[in-house]
Amino acid sequence: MSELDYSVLGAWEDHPKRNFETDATAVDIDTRAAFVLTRIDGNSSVADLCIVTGLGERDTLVHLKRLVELKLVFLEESQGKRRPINVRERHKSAAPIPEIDAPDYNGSSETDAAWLAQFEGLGSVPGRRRRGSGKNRFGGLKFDQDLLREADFLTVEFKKEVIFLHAYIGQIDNFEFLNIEPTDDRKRIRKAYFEFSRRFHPDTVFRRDVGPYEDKISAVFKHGTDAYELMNSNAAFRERYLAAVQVRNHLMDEDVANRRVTQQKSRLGRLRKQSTARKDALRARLQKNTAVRSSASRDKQVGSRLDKAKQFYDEGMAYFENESYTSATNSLRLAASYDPKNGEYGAALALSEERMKASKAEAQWKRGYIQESLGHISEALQAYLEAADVLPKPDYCSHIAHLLLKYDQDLHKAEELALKAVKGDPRNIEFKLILGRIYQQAKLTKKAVSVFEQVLELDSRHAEAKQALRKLK
Amino acid sequence: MERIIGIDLGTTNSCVALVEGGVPVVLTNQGGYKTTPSVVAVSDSGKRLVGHIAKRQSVTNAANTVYAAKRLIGRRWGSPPVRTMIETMPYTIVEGPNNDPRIQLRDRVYSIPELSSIILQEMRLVAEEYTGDSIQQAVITVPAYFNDSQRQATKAAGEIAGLDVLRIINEPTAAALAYGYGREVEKTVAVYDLGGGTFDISILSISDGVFEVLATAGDTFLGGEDFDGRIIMDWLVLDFAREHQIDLRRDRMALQRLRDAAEKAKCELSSSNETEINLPFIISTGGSEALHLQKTLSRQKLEELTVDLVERTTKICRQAVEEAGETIDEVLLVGGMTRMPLVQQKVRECFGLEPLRGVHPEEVVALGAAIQGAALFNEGSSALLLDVTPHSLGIMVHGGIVSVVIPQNTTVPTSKSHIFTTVKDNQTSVKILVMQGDSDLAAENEMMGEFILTGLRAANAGEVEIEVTFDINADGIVAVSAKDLETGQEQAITVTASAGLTPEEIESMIRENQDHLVSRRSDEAVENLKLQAQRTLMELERLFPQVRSLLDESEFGQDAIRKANGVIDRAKLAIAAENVDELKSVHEALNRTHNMFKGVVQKIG
Repeated sequence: MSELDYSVLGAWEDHPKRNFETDATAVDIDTRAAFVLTRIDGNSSVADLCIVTGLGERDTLVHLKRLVELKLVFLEESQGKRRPINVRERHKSAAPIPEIDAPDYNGSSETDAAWLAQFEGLGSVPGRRRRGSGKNRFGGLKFDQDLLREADFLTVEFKKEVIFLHAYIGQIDNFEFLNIEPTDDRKRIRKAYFEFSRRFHPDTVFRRDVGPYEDKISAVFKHGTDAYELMNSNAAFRERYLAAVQVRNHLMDEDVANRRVTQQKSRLGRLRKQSTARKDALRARLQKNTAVRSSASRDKQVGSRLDKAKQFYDEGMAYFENESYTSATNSLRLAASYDPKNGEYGAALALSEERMKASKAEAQWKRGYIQESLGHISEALQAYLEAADVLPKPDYCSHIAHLLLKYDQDLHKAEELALKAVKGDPRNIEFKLILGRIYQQAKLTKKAVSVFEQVLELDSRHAEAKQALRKLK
Repeated sequence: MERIIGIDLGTTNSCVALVEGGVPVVLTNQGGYKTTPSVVAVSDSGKRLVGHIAKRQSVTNAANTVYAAKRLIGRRWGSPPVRTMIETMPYTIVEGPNNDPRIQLRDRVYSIPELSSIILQEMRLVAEEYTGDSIQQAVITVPAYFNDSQRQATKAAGEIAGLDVLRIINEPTAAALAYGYGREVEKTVAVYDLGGGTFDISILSISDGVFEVLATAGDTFLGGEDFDGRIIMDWLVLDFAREHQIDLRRDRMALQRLRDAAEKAKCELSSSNETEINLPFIISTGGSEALHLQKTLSRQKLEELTVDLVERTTKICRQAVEEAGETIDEVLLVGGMTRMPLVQQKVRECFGLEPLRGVHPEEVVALGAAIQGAALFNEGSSALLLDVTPHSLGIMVHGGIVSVVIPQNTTVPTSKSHIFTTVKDNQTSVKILVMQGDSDLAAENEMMGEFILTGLRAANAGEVEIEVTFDINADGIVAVSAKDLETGQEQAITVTASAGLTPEEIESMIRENQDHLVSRRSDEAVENLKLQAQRTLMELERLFPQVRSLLDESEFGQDAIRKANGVIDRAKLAIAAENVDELKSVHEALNRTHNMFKGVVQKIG
C-alpha cells in the first residue's frame, strides 16, 4: 500500500483496457479486483474508473495496479487532454474508512473483523450499539428485577451499572469500561481509574452482605484494573488498541447506517406503491371517461380515422429516426389505435417501445452508477432496480444481486435477480458465482454447492468456487 | 459505632492510634509515652512483662527478655535470618514442631506469633484505657516487603490477642495514608521507611483520597538493629578484644548492656557530633578484677561504620523509582532510623529532593493504619487504598524455574491465568507448586503450598493443556486453581500459610490468652487496692503521734490505739500477701480508723 504514493496518482490519466488474450478466470484475484475488472470498458480514464467502482480512489487504484501486474489489463495512453483531477481532494470526500495509523491494519473492511479479533475484550462488535446516554446508557440491557431488589443499601443505579459492566466484560472496550476518551493522556486515565475504583473497589462494600453483587463487583474491579494497566503502561499497545477501537466504531457506525438505509428503502417502497396505486386509479377513471366519449363519436369519425393513423405514423417514424423513442412511441401508439388492423403500425410500435425501454433503462442505470460511486447505495439500488424493471438484462440483474449481497439486504430479491441473470446468460461464470455467494450467505448449502459445481463445470480450475465448495463440504 | 484501632507493630517500638471524630490520634500508654517498646519478658516469678517495664529489666534478665521478635515472625527454622538471630540474640531460639523458630523463656517455649500477640494485647489495652470501652477490631501494619507467611503469622498474632484483624497493610502505605488523608493532594510520593528491623520503599500516587501503590521494594533484614550491630561488633567488641583478649559477646549481660549503649549512642549522634559510651564493670577477668569500657564515638566514625548499609537502601530506592516510572514529587521519611543525618543526606542525594518534614516518623504508620480501619467501615469514605502484591506469585515448572502468573506490584484484588502443559509422555497427573518470591529459581523463593491435579489424558508431552489461575482477593488471600482444559478436571487450594501454627494451636493460644487477660485484670484490681491501702496507711501513720498524745491518758484511748495498731499490722500483712478479699476488708477497717483519727484530731486538737 505504501508504494502507492499519492503524488504519482495524478499521472494516471490513461485508459485501462481489458486484455482479452489472458484467461482472467484462472488468475488469483479477489472479488473486489474482479469487480474493478468488470467495470473496465476501455473508454473511461482511470479517474473515471475510480468513480464508477464506488470503492474509493485508493482501493480502486490498488486493485487496478494488481490487475495491471497480472497483465489482465493494460493502460492505453490517453488521447488528448482530459479534465485534470485532483486526487487528494476527491479522496478526502469519498474516503469510505477513516485513515488509521496502525502497524498492520490494511484498510479493507473485509479484514477488519479478523484484525479486531486480535484484541481481546473488543469482541465481535457489529450488531451491538455503542452505549449512549439517558435511556440508552445500558445499551438496552434488560435487568432482572429480583436481582435489583437484593442488597437494598446499594443504589439501583449502582447495581445496574455493576450488572451492566459485569455482563459486558470482554465486549465493552477499555475506554468505555473506564469511562475515558481515546485522546486522554496518562494523567486523565489515572484520574478516571481512581474514580472507577472509588465506585467498584471491593473495599467500598467491605464486610457488608451484598449477596450476588460481591462477585460481580470484584470481577468488574479486576477487569477495570487490567484495562487500566494495559492503557496506562504500554504506549504502543494503547495506540494499536485505539486504532482497533476506531475501526470497531467505524464498523458500528456503518452497521447503524446500513440499518438506516434499509429503513429508508422500505419507506420509499411504500411511498412508491401508494403513488402507483393512486396513478392507476386515476388512469382507470380517465380511460372510462375516454371510452364513453369515444364510443359516442366513433361512428361519425370512421372515415377520418385511417387518415389520422397515417398522419401519426409518419410523425412517429420521424421521431424514431431522430432517436426520440418516447415521442415516437406515443405517436405510433396513436397510429396503431386509429388503425389497429394495420400490421406495419403494430410492428413499428413494438420496435419503438423496445428502444424506449432500453434507453430508459440505460438512463436509470447511469443514474445508479453515479449514486453508487458517491456511496449512496440506497439511491443507487433504487435506480438500478428501476432500470432492471424496465429492461431485465442479465448483467444488470447480476450487479444488483451483487450489491444486495454486499450490503446484506434483501437476500430473496438478490436470489431472484441472480437467478434471472443466470437464466439470461447460463454460461457466464461471474453471474453464477454471485448466485453461489448469495446461497452461501443464506446458508442454503445444497443450492450453493450445486451452483459452485456448475461453475467448476464451466471452468474446472476456478479458485474461488473450489475454495467455497471445500468450505461448504 | 465500631472503634477500630491501627497498630504499628514495630521491631523495636509499637504504636497505636484511632480515628476520633474524623481526626486520627496516637494514644499514649500509662507511662505517658506514645510508643511502647516491642519487648516481652518473663520475670523471676514467672510474670509476663511487656513494654517499658520489660525493657528496663532487660539487663538483669537478658536471657528471658525478647526484643526484635518481628525479625523472626513467619520465618522458617534454618533460614539465614534465623541463623543470624541465633548467633546474636541473648535469648534462646529453639526449633518448633512445624519447622518454625520458637523462643524459650524460663520453662516455657513461645511461638513468635504468641510473643507478638503479647505486644498487640498491650496496645489494645492502651486503647481500651483511652476509650474506656472494649476494642475488638484492628488494622495491623507490616513491612511492605513481608511475604505471605509473615503476613499470615502477624494476622495470627492479632487473633491470639483477641483482635479481629480487618486488614494487614503495608507500613509505607499507611504512612502515605496519614500524609495524604484529608488533604487535597495530587502527587507522586516516595515513602522511605527505615525502621528497627526492616527497610521499605514504596511509591504511591495520591489523588482525591485514592492511594495507588505504584511500586514497592525493600529488605526485611535491614534496619536500626543492624546499625547497632555495627557499633557493637565492628567497633566495641573488636576493640575490647584487641585490648583485653576477651570476647564480650560470651557474656549475655555484657552483650545486653552493649546493645543498650550502642542504641543510645546512635540516637544521640543524630543531634550531636560526639558521644561517650561508658560501661563500668562490664566484665570480670575471672579474678576479683573488673574491666570497664569507656570510649568516645564520633558521628563520623558511626557513618564510616554504617555507610554501606545506607547505600544498600538507596540502591533499592532507585530500583523502585524505575519500576514506578513516574517523577517523584515528595519524599516521606518514616521510621526512627531516618533521624540519622547520613540517612537524610543519602535520601536527598538519591531523589534530588528535600525530604518532607512535619510528619512524626514513629507515629505516622499507626495513624495510617487507623485511617484505613475507619475508611473500611465508613461509607463514602475519603480514603481508598489500592494496594499491590509485594512479591511475584507463580508456579514451579520443569527445571526448578518459577513461571510467574501474577507479577510483583499488581493491584489487588486480581486474578490471572496462564496455560501450562505436560513435559512427559503419558503423564496423567501434575503437581502444582505455588511459589512466592522474585527470583527465577524456585529454590530461592518461598513455597506457599502445593496440590496435585490428576486424571489427565495420557498423551504425548506438550499435548495436554492445563490452565492455572491465581486469585488474590481484597484481603490478600491467595487461591490457586488448576484445570485440564480438555477433560475439565479441576483442583484448587486456598493458600493459608499460618507460619508455623496449626489452627488448633492458635485456638488454644487464644483461650490461654483470655485466661491471662483475666488474671492480668485481677492483678490490676489488687494493685489498685494495695495502692489505696498504702495511701491510707501512710495517712494513718502521719496522724498517729498526734492521736496518741491526745488519747494516751484515758483507758478508752489506749484501747482505741491498740485496735488501730492491730488494723495497721493486718493491713501490712494483707498488702504483702496481695490477697484480694483480705485487702478489701482491711481497706474498710483502715478507712474506719482513718475517719476516727480525723475526728479525734478535729474535735480535740
